[in-house]
Amino acid sequence: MAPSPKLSYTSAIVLQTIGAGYRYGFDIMEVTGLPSGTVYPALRRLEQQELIKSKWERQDAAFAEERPARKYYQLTRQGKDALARARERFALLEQLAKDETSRRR
Amino acid sequence: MDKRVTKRLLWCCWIVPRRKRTEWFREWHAEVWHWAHFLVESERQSAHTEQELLRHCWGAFSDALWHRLNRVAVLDFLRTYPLSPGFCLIALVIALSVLIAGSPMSRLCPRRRTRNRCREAGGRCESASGLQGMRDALTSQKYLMTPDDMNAILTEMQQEQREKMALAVKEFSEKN
Repeated sequence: MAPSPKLSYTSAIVLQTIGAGYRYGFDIMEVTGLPSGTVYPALRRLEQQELIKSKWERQDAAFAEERPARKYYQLTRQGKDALARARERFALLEQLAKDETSRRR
Repeated sequence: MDKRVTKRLLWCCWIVPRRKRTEWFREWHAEVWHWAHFLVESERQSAHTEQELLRHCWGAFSDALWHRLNRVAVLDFLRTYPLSPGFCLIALVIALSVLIAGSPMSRLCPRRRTRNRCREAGGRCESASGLQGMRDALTSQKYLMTPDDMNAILTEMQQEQREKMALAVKEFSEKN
């Protein structure tokens, strides 16, 4: 397995947000305040580095609610490790993690 | 969903590599659909929020570009494309063009040669002093050409000037 690369701050924020349970591109944009032109390429990059994985929602479930199926993202095991390392590296990210967790409670 | 949004997404779609295009469009379409639907449901639909949604769609452009130009895609391209016949043919044509343009063959024409040399010598030959200026320009740089070359060119030009002069005299006499 290739050693996980050093994350940029943007990638770390996106990873952190997914780790906090926000799974769609739109949600991530809402929470982080980052523009779509930054969030989506960051998602692609993280997926390419196998730090997150994407999965399509079940078609029948979406059709039952008369809406298109969405693609959602979740952390891989490598992603969780990378996030832990990023939290050590970026002190403020740790703070964001606490804020997000408390907000979701 | 707004037609402008769909149109924008479809335009960006062309940038994405073909094998990823359908999935890319599906994801963006779903994201935008949910956003638009959320605005309607929460009664926050206004000109401002629609503009915001349109702005959000510009992100599709950079996302599509990322698909086309990310490091892995570029490396893939460099790994496969240089081995294709098309690339070899284009490279060969470019190499040949450069060789021909830089070879002594391209300097065979004395007129062109004189022009080039004059330009190198500071363009004095283009001044009103005519042949004298040209002679100065040609002799000022000893490496430019042999005296025989220079004489041949000057003779040719003198001949041309004589012909022109004769023509002008003829025209003048015909008019009067």
